[in-house]
Amino acid sequence: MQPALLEVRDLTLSFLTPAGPISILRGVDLTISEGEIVGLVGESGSGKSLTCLSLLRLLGERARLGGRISFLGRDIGALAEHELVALRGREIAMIVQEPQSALNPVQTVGRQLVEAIGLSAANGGARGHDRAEQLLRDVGLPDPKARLSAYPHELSGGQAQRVLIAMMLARGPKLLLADEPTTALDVTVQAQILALLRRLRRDHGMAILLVTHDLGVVAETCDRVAVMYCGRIVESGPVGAIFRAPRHPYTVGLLGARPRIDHRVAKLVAMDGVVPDPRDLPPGCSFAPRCQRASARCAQVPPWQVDAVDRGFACHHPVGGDATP
Amino acid sequence: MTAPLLQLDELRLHFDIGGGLFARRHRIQAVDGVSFSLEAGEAFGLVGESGCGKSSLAKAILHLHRPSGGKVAFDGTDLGALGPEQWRPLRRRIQYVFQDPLAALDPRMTVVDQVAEALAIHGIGDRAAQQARAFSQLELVGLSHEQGRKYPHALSGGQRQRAVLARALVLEPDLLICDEPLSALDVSIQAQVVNLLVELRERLKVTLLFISHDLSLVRHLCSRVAVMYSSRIVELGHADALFDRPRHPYTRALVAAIPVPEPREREPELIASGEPPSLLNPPPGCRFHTRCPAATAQCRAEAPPLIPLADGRLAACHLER
Repeated sequence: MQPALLEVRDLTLSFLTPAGPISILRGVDLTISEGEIVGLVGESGSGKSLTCLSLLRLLGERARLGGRISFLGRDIGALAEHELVALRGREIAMIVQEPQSALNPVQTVGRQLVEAIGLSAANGGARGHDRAEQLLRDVGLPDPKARLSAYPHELSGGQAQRVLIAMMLARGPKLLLADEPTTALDVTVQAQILALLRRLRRDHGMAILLVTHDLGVVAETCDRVAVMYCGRIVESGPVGAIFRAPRHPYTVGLLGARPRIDHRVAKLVAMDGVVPDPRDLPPGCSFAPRCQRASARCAQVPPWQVDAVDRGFACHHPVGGDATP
Repeated sequence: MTAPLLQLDELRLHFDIGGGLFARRHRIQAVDGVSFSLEAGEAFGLVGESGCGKSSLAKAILHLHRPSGGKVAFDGTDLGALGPEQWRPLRRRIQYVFQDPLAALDPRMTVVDQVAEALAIHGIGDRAAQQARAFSQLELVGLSHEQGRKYPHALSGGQRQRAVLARALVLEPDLLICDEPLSALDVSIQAQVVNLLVELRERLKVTLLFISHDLSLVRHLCSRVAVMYSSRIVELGHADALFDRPRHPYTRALVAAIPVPEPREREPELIASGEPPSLLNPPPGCRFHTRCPAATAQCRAEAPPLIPLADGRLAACHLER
């Protein structure tokens, strides 16, 4: 196994509000090895995006972060602001769902790219320009030379995402946080961008945390997956094992809730109810009110149980046999 | 055989944009000669990527945008020939549900009042009967009396979409047109509304035109499917045959691009390159030729007609004749 690049242990995040603190992340454990693509899956509000922002400490003044984030042995929680500035983008980069919102609308693509290149080394002018063109070619943007003088509004969503990936590549980070990078894109373009992410891993050895709500995207792109519900990881492990034999009822629920393109399913297995409000979470297992397998025991937070090498879940009544107490 | 419930015949819709003092006028051909028909009771899917013209097609069917050419016939009536008064009874028989339920609901009215209002507009029953009917319709879509008395902002996305469905179905329409009705919902909530839609369709025998970019959902809900690309239909046939054995190269690329929740190796050669063309300046010939790995000189020059293949489906491809 590759050495761990990122180790997150018992990460907690709450926001202070006039009505009291709201707990968003409630003990997240996550490990990403070098060159690994890890999927982080869950529905809106589960805490996926805030996990990414916590890793970069981009949270604002009202946030209270706990636990330990260790990146190449360094404690991100203990870094000073100027050290964080050096870390963001250069070592850990992020791309988001709406690439257009991440680009400057009044500057050309070329100028923004040259700026990103300039941040990594002092080589302005023509060299920066050549490098920018090369980067656009690397991310598969058609006609890269002409694109340098384009403004963001002249790009399609897929093209804008490629430009962001090129800007990210310019600084050569070791870890990419990709927050729903293809959700706003058409499905044929999504396939292209996912192929590009896999290529970045292969050619640059980049590790990727891929945040998505689409288990299909995870199955085709990731090595490992962590399933998130109400600010906790409820199951994690290698993609093959999780999809073949999910243990947590929520993972099973997510898999059963989507129809398939490759065959017709008789009826979707819909989970009851809705994701609870973070201000009004049930005690114990947050999924219990929606879970068919729930019992009185579920009022206690289920401990994390290791199922096999590199695989675990948090459930009192896992699918495929009750866990040892 | 009875006449189809809905028949589109070479339907066209274009928009002219620009054209100021010095600006050139541009024409966007959003729907370019679309023909298909829906039998009463069937669930028909229309799939395509964003900007292909599928929502414009829905609006042209409803005459929310007046078609620029071609014909829409509903239950034998040519919709283009109707005046506003003649439209009113038809507006009851054709209902539609769009993607954003919050935009479709009036923020200043309770949900039950909005369902009852639909009945009032069409003069069905007295006030008390309308209220009672509205509550029972809300119950049918899984909303309690208490939830019915709420305003839209107090409901979740899934509940709002249920309310919109209740309002559409309370009028007992013959045709329900749904344009991306589930795209804004989370996976677990989406499954609930999908199951509800399947159940209601069977119970109420309503004909469904389901428009979506989500092919998996369309396969689940529909028996026949039309695939739209750059304002034209490129393939049309039974859902299972079309998704299991797509014949048009675009359908093939589309189906291959859908991620399947099962770890597998994707065949990279099946990933379509490029992006859909702009409707402002579509390529000549087959619109897909710019992305098609098998395109020939004929594809670049001549638009292929939508013609039947041996198994009965229709495809518009020079290479599939």
